[in-house]
Amino acid sequence: MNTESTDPLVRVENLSVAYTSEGTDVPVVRGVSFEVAAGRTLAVVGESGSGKSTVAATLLAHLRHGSRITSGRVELAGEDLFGLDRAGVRRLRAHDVALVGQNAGHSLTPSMRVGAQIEESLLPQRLSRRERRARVLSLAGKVGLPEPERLLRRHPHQLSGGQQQRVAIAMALAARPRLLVLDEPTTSMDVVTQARILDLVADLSRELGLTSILVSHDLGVVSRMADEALVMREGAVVEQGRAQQVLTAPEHPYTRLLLASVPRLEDRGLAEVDQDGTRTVRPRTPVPADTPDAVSLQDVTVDHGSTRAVDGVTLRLRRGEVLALVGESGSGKSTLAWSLAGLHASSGGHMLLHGPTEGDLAATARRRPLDVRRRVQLVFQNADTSLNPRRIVREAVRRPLRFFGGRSRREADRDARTLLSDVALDPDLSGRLPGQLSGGQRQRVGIARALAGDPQVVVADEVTTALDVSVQASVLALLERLREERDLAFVFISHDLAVVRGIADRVAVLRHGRVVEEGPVEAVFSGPNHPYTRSLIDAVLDPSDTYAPGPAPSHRPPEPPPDTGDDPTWHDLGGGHRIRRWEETGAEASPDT
Amino acid sequence: MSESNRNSPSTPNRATAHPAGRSMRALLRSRTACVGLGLVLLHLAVAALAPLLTSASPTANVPDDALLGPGSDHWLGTDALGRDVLTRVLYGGQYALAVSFAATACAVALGTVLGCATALKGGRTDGALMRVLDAVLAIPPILALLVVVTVLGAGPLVIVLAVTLVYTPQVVRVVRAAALGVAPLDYVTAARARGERTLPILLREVLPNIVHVVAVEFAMRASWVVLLISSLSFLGFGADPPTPDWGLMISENRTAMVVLPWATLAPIIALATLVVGLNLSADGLSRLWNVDRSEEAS
Repeated sequence: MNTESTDPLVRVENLSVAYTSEGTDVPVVRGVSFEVAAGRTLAVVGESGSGKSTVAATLLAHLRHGSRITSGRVELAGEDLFGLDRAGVRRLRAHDVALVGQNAGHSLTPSMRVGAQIEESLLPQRLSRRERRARVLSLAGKVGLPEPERLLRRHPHQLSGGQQQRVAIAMALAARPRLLVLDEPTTSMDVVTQARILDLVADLSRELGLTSILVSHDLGVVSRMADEALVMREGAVVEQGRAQQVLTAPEHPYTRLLLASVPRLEDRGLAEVDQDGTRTVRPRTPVPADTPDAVSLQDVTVDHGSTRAVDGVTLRLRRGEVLALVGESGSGKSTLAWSLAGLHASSGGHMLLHGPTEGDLAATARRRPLDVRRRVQLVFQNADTSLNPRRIVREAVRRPLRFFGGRSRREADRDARTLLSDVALDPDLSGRLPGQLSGGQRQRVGIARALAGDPQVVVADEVTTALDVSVQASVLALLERLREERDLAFVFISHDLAVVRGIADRVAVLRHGRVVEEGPVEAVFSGPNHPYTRSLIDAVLDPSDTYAPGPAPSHRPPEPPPDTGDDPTWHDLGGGHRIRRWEETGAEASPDT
Repeated sequence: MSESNRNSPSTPNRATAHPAGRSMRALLRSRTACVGLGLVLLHLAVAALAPLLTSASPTANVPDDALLGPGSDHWLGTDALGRDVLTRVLYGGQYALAVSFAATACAVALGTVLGCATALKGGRTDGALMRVLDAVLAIPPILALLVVVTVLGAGPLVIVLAVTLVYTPQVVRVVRAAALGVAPLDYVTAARARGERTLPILLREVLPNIVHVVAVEFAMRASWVVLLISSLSFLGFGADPPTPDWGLMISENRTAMVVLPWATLAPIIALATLVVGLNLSADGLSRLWNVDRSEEAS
């Protein structure tokens, strides 16, 4: 494929899009211009509300209902996409441009077998049934679906998130498009799956000479994938240029700020970012070794029906400590956390709450005494669904205050205001509905609600995953402050190891429901490691890294550490750092299979 | 860039408006909903104010005036017993509206409670209840009603109970589907993690988020019930003869339809406009609130 073609495949000229709200035009995209040459990848970067997805959608000649183009043109190979008639638009979407959306789980039809869905996108090509079948199989192989024959007969809910996204990519490639639009293709995936999907897309793009436009808020992903980058803010382009240039030597202050907000693996604590983009890393003060435990788990197992989601986990969490649970989706980390919060009963082992209030956490929430129940509280991943959209903020916080504390309405109202200001929210927002708050504000309300029970332990399930980097930084700083002020112990679940590095005191790496490595954050990140931990750390994408084109370097599985004891299951490296022994060969040693 | 000045960029000026006021304004903008609700309100007003709108009695027989055509005294003529047709049409909504609305309210209330509860509970309770309801669904409503009425008599209370029984399963299905969409959301999980009981979760967390579905279901169900109850009267099992009732009037006057078309047509038009009004309201509301009506095709 000729990548040096002089005519750009995509040309967007001074594009402005607005939607009408109550009689006034609200601009969402303001004067965006860019070109993408054939075979290149352009990344459109920005935080939520920056208009990046709107821009991407215009390449499919799509505008959200109620929006319209107020100026400019969008051209694909010289053709004005918004001058097309219906048939033209259909042809465009069937043959020329394909979209891979953010959540494949939502974009696949739940009632149709995935093979049939891929086949459906081949229909415009008028192949015979047999040819279509053959193409579906070859596509499935190309996107790396294991055992395609069997997998293609499954329904979407029977696939993992990564497999669903592979199906979505196969559907997009089925039409042999000239342009691939990737709208946050790996957001909400864990790092390992993300790395594999990105490798896949990168390989395919090179192999098929695809031109792609990647929409992402993740600068690490951008640095991995893009040739060029375009940074958007509030609908306008603030900076554009070669991706490497933009990410390593940003010129615009906003880009600098964005870059500075990204947590890095080498940070030894939480980074504080000033408005001008300078970052200062506040080193963590270690929790003294003799701190009493807040929670202890001994051989805990949790079953989902006949499958064992958590398989003999032994961990302890000390007061005022942040313990990070790390692992891929399906590793059992969320199940373990939900058991702690009383949403699943554990099926074996002991789970005990220590500290001022003591109790047994093996039972589900309703069976726990009220005073134990309130001491373990949960903060959810998705701030959009964690608040009842019909209840104003004050009610959301007041309910647990009254439920746990038996306060009168007036006391609860007063305390709710205090709690809201504790989480750095303007108490005047307490009359708002969640829909009228930003994502970060909603997450703060979720944290305030968890604090209302006056907990000893807070279980934070991927609380910053859905947030923009700048907001993520402020929410992490808030959690850190609350930990210090209230001597709270946190179970912090995350698949983002860079975040974990900043916030956690200790890390436990879970795989298939078992702890494979556990230790102080410093020790785990400096190694030696279990090969699985290593693969997680290697999968972290750092925006300042440069990625050579070509397949990602395959990392040599780490050497087992020098034998330090005679424990048959664990290598004990001292200082609380222990690694589960693994087989030199076989599946355990090569987690990338 | 900081969080505070990025707060809800898309809806800055709406934040001040009260949500109820906002949905009211949206309602007024939807023509379908306006026309539909207007028709229903008109019928309710006429039924309630019938004694003020006409001085004639709807039940008194005046043999001398029997079978008159439309004229200045009797705008729509009189029936075989000399009763003014217009008067009877004006009064005629009272029975149908009262009984239908009572029955619909009961069916929707019971269905909502059952639907939410079964969605929240899930598991075996859910399966068992749904199978029982499926069995009830298999019985044709009019048949079930006829059986009940022949056994227990045709009192309004009996009819209300029978209709409740017949239509609750359909409401349960719709409400359960909506509640199932809400039940796995994190705010419900949060309430469960607090250890709240099912009823408070239902009332505080689930119901407010499906109330629009319930409202649409009410309008939709009401139109079916009005038709059902009028058919019952038409068949002679609903309102007792002297009572002015549309279904009964159509049945009484249909033999004289060629001579006195208005005595039959007027109650038909009244009934039709009410049903159309209810349907339009359901349509308008569901479009306004994005309620998926495909569930309710039955």
